[in-house]
Amino acid sequence: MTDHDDLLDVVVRLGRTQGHHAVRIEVRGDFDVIQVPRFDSIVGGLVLDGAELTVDLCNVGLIDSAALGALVRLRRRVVERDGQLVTLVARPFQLTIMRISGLFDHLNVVDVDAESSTSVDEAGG
Amino acid sequence: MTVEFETDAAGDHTERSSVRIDLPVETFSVAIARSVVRRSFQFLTPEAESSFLIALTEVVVNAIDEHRRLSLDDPVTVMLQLGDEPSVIVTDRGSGFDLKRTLATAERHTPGPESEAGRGLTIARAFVPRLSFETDQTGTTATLPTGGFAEPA
Repeated sequence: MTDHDDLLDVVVRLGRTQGHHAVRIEVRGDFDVIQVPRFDSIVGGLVLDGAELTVDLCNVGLIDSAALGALVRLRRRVVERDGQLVTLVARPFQLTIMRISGLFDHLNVVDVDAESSTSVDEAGG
Repeated sequence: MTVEFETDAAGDHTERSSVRIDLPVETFSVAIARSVVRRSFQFLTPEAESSFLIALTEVVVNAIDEHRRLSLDDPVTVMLQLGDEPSVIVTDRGSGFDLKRTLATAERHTPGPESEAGRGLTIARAFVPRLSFETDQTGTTATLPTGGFAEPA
């Protein structure tokens, strides 16, 4: 059990992948209605033209419907600028919320744990 | 913000049967509600904690939004029942809603992927299936049983 409320921590990493402008946003803590304005402010300053944007939610302990709305807005911006979005999750509740909200495909959600298991299986032949 | 404790019939202050918190109609009240629940309950697993607190967040936000919609200064009440059948109960003093119709709509209709809102109730009920509502024109009470998620600390 956590004994403190987790504020939101957002880390932005910029780079290039195969010639494309790559942006990775790592989010930690409680991603909720309180923290959405801060998230919007941080990502609002990013240049997303043609970007490969990865939003890493693996270390988020809570995601609410307001946070999903923020991700929908972000995706819209990325697509309008000819970019792509990938959303990484790792925990069962993160998968659940993406599926029940109907956003699993729309946000291009990738289950990091399932992907790594598949890679191990393939490597083992 | 007001916090009140009720004890059992023996008056033993170390055995609280319920805790009541009156929350101001502010967005940050969501964090207060979660914080009190985190400290009052021992969650069985990290997944249980995340799941329950997501549902709680959605319910508290709805209550706060209802008070804002009606320009009510009255607080939103969160009651932690710590005795038999522990639960978290969120009460607003709004104008209520058509429960049957709202739940049926939520079941039949998922907001489109481009929609930024309208998912809260569906999410809350998915994570806490035994979430229940009592509602009338004087307000709404949402009960989130903690069984299967947490035990009183």
